[in-house]
Amino acid sequence: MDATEHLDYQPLRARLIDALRKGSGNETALQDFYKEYFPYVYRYVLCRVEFNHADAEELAGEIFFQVFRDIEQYDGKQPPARWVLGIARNRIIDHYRHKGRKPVVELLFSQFDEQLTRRLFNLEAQELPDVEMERSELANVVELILSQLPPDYERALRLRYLDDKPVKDLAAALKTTPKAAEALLYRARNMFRDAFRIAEKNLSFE
Amino acid sequence: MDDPLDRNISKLLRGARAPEPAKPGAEQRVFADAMARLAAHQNTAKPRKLELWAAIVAVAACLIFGLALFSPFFLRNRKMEIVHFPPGSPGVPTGHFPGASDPRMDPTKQRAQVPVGDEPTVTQINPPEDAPATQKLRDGSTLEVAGGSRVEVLEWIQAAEFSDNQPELARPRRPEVRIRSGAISLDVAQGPGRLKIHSPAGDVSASAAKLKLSLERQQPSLGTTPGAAKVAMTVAVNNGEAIIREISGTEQLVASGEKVTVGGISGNGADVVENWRSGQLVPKLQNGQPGDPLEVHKHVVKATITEQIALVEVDETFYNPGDQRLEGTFYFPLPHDSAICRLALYVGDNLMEGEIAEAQRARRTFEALIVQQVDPALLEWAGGNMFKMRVFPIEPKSEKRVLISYYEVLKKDHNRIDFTYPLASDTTQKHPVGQIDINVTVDSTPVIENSFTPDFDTQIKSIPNHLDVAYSAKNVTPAKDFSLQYLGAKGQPLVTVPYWHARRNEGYFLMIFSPDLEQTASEKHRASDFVFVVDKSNGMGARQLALETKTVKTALSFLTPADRFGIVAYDAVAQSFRPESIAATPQNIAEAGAWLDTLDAFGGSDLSIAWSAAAKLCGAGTTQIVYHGSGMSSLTSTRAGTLLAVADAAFKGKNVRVHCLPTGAVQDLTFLNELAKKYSGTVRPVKGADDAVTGASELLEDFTWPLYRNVAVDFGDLAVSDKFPVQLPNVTAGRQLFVFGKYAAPGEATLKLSASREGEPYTQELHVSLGQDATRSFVPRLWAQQRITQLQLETAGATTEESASIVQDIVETSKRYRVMSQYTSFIVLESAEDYLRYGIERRPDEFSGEQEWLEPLDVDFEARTPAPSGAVDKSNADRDTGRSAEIVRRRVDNEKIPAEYKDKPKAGENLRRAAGDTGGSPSALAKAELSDHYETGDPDRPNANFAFVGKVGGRKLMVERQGGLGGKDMDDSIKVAQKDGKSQSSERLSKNGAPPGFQRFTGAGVNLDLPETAQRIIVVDDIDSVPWERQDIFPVFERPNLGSLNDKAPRSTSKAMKILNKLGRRFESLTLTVAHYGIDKDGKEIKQGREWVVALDWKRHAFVSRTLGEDYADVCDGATRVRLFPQLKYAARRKTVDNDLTAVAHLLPGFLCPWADKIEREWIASVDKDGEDEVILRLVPRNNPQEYTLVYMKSANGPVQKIETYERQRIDGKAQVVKTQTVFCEEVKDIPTVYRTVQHGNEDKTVSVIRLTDIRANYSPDAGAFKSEIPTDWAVRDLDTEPANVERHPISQPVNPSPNFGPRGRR
Repeated sequence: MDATEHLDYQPLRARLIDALRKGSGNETALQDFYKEYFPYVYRYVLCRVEFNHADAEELAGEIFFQVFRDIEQYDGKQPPARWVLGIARNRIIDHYRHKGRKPVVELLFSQFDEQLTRRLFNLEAQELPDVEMERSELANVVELILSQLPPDYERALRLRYLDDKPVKDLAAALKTTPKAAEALLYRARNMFRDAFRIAEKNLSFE
Repeated sequence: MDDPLDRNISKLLRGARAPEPAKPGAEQRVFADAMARLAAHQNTAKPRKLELWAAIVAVAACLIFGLALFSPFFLRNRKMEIVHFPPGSPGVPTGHFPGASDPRMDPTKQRAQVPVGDEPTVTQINPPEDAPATQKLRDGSTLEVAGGSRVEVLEWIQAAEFSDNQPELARPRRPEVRIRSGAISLDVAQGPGRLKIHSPAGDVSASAAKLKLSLERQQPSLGTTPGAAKVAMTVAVNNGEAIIREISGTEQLVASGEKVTVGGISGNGADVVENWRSGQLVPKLQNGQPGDPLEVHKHVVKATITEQIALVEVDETFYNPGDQRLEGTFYFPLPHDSAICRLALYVGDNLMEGEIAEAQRARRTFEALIVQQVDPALLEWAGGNMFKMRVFPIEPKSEKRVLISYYEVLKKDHNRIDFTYPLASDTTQKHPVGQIDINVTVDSTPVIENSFTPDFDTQIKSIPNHLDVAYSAKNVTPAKDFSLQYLGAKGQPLVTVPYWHARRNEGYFLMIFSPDLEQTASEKHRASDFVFVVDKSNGMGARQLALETKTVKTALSFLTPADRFGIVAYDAVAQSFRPESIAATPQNIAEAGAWLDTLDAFGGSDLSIAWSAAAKLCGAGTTQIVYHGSGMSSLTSTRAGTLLAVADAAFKGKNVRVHCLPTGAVQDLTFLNELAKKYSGTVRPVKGADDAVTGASELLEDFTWPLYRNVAVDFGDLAVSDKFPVQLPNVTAGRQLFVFGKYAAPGEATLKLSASREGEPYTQELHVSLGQDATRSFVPRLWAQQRITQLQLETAGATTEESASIVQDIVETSKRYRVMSQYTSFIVLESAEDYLRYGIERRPDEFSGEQEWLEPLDVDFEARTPAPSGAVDKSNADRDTGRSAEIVRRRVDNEKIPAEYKDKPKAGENLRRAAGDTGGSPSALAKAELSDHYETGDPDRPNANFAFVGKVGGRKLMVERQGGLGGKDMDDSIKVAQKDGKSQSSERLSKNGAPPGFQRFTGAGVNLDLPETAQRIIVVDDIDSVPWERQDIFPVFERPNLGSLNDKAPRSTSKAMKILNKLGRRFESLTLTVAHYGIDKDGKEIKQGREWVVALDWKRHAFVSRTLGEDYADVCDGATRVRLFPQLKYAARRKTVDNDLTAVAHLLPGFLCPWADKIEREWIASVDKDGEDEVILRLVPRNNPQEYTLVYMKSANGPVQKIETYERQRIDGKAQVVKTQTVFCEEVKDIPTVYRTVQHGNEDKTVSVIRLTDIRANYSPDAGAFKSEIPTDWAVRDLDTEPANVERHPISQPVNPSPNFGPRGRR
């Protein structure tokens, strides 16, 4: 996945469509695409199906089937990750609808009291109390949030906030300029902040 | 990072859960799945005529499948699917379809495999309202219902018998139901076989039972092990019983009225099985899911090997690092031919020993006690060779220490003996083991020539017949099991290990025959036809399957083109590599290797089809069947006997030898060993890649040794009975034959071992001596284990009644010999009283001095219907103990809990009830401030006086009914006495009116005046339901705290107390059987009076004495005593210590320290002398300073040599000290122990002898220290047999009567 936007993904789309035609000799393109996106899709699905690997595998199979089937519907303008995860999201909603249950995200948030939920939705307002950090549900929610961030964003956040790397090192690690790294980090933290609000709505039934 | 957002992100990231990688192979699987779907989609999108036809044919094939079976269904809501695949249909793979997780369950693929049958249907009902109320389905039908449906099977008609082209499967089979979600109610009719219900959480089988099964997807399992169970299955049995077999292999019985929930898995079963490896304590999280195994702080193993019998003592300390109190399950696999003989665990500083109890009762007790938040532990059989122990509670941030001991018979293979202890499991844990200590000692009659411990850096000390092996490591994660291998010199052809049980006058023996089979290995014996059977069911998992295929490939590589081989791989269906066996040419071997690589671990397992398929590959000559797998058959009966019968049917008429290479975490070693024994094979467990290679090569080498058939042993003149194995197996040269049995009388004889070797007779004569040795108590235990195995085999083919009696027999054997079985469990309860209350019988260990208990009290703790009870003050929980204990008891005994236990009656009503409904024997005292009370009653005179005693503020209050029958005060009235410690005032209340401040209650002829302020009544419903610790209610056991006593004790006594404390703490308890003997004028012993048994409990400072021949028992704490009668409603007569008990107390050696508190309370103790060679304690009775007792001890550690009693008397006007009694405590080199009492100051000078007929001691936690401090000939020897080579003094011989002793008793 790529954090940089406004790129043209048309060549990729063309390659994939070609690869899906039998005997085109371009099958490796499909496999490369799959290999690149499988970990993200799998991780995204896994934390939304209660970390049940069997369900995750089944859903991932369905998702990639749909991706391959509908590849022609991909417009090639947005990053493929966004499109793929969009499909994943819909499949997961279907999965829960089929079971007549609430999606796991809702359940996760329902375990927090109102105050904590409000705090999570306004991370910039006030520091979270340490005592809440011990909660394993919270750890699951954070993993869920991270799973839907572009990988560069997650990496930037981890380098900055976990390893306390200065922006200079961060730029080196991400192979970009410090300025760009700073911009990326800024976007990453905003996205992380907003993700809580989005996540809760993300899988609700409309 | 000043911004709160920055700080929050940092915090949240630090607390984030680590991303979980996909399971190995998931990437490929998902891709393949997606591509397959895509291909299917493309095909559907452009259907070609031919493919359409193929699809139609496939569906039709599915539809025409099945035998006559009708199952009406009752549909309501929730999705479920019912499928029945009859086995043995012609022209198709036999067996059943595997678990729901199997991709073959995909309908499109599945139907292509479904055999052609009758008229099955595929019914899709969506939405549910379309569904008919009931519907009949034929065999093989699939029912698909919309979400939220509920399906109820109203009637199930038994399937027809199968006897078409597979006569070996001619036994009737029952239909099978597969449920994926939702719920199902079943009324299973009686019939041959059991109905099986498959579900993602496991299988359930039942016959003649009514049960309800429901599946539930669980809530997010946060913090659980990845891949752990996600589907919970609840089985509630109304009638009959059902067996749940979890996907991981655990089995448990659900009895009538029970409801059991198990978590299954929807994914890879192998993960869970792997997690099950030994020595792990897996906590149960709050959501019911298993958590990560707890850290192991210490893992100490002590193995003592005596002539190939190993006693393995395991001591593991776990640590709960979390903040929650946990319930945990400790998994423990055992080798075959082993017998668990001890379970104990520490609760705080106390070591709690387990008792063997019937499995269901033990489990119910455990469940009931968990609710009570007390500390039980339960060890039970978990299927195959796996045992599990449930422990509760494991407190947060604290350790839990578990002790387990078992005996194992080590087999000798061409002079090599291999002792293995499972350690490798610890590798699956996140944390390394804090410390591992393994100590092995070997004592062997044949000289030990060489020893080594592969992969472990050990210290080995070796002398010819003895070996000490020590391994110690810190912070390690052992990658392999600990293994000690040693080579013994060629020993005697027969090693006999006898055990003589003098009291019962019977003996047990183990004979290890190493027949002098000098024939060397030779190619001429070499086998040439092989069939390899590979278990590829889901339970194996990919790792185990890889091991199996590796073993087969290695074995194949040893074959020559002259050999022939075949391979069968099975799960629910069997596949053969080739339809018949083929020559072992390099090309065929290579192809077989490639074929093996294609195998995947899927589905359930059915051994019957494996044997049938293997039998088809057998040639005319002898075929070597080499079995790789767990020996578990999840789709058929799991009983070893039945499995054997199935194998017999398959191999009928064939000339086969069956060799087993067990793999997998859970194995049915009983079955595999019996199978190998029956079919002249061997068993070699395969645990790792090394074993796979060595196992295969050794196995093939085995075939080059000659086989001895028709082995028989003629015991000559020895009266031998109950020999096991019943049918002696064939023996390969270089291996041994183990025979267990009983003998009626010690003796010597010449045995004759006969066999046929290569068709020629072979005989060997051996001299055997069965003596009166009683030191090896493992012999009866192992004998019992063999007997239990044999009985288990006999359950196959038994009718229900026979089966019940066999199970009863197994339970009895297990209890008597203290060996665990499938039908019994070890349970640890908190106190002796709990064992009595929950009906867990505590039996003495007859066979050794290791853990001994007194004979069971013949007290019938008959449940009494409790009197209608009064209110219970819920606000004060501990006051409810009486009732809650009763509730617990009722839960355990499966009795209804009366409704009034839930209601809170009005206060006045309680008093009336208490006073009236109990028929003149009210059991209540009310007063607002009255803290507690107890009641006493006289069993002989139920209408006599009664009393309630309680405390009002600091004062004691007693209410007493005057009058009744025969008393002077015929006036029926109430007397209230108040004691404030100094004065006592009493007031008698006439029945004519209540005194001021009191209100009167009348009923059933009793007037009870109680304070007007009474607001609460404490009712003791049933005295036997009151925990005895409740001193306030049942103030018999005052448990003095020795520590504080020590502090408060006068300085002069503290040293004595110290000595006594030190001594006494070594004992958990001590049981003595004591009898009085007098000596008549001819010097002969005469038994005087009755024998009685005294059990001393150090922890409680109490003892139980039981006069043999009487139906009551006395319980005493050294100061007060209660007599327990058969029906405890009459229990609790408060009484001071009686003469007999005092006498015992006096006669006991001083260092049996349950008496420490008695000594402290009743005597003033001081130390007269504290010398190096002698310690003398002086005990002066508090109530009689005119007397004193001197206790002479050899050292502070005992033993007591002599006890003298002196009395100050005035003789002829002069004060003199007269010795009144001397008790000589003989050095206990001789058995039975004799204490001679010489009466002084008595003209008759009678001499009486007290014989201590039995001593049983429970070791204290630190058994090592115990052994070193106590003279070994005192407490730990077996009392049934006289030790050899020790001269025995005749009892009647006087031993230094008093004239030779000085005033201080010195010689």
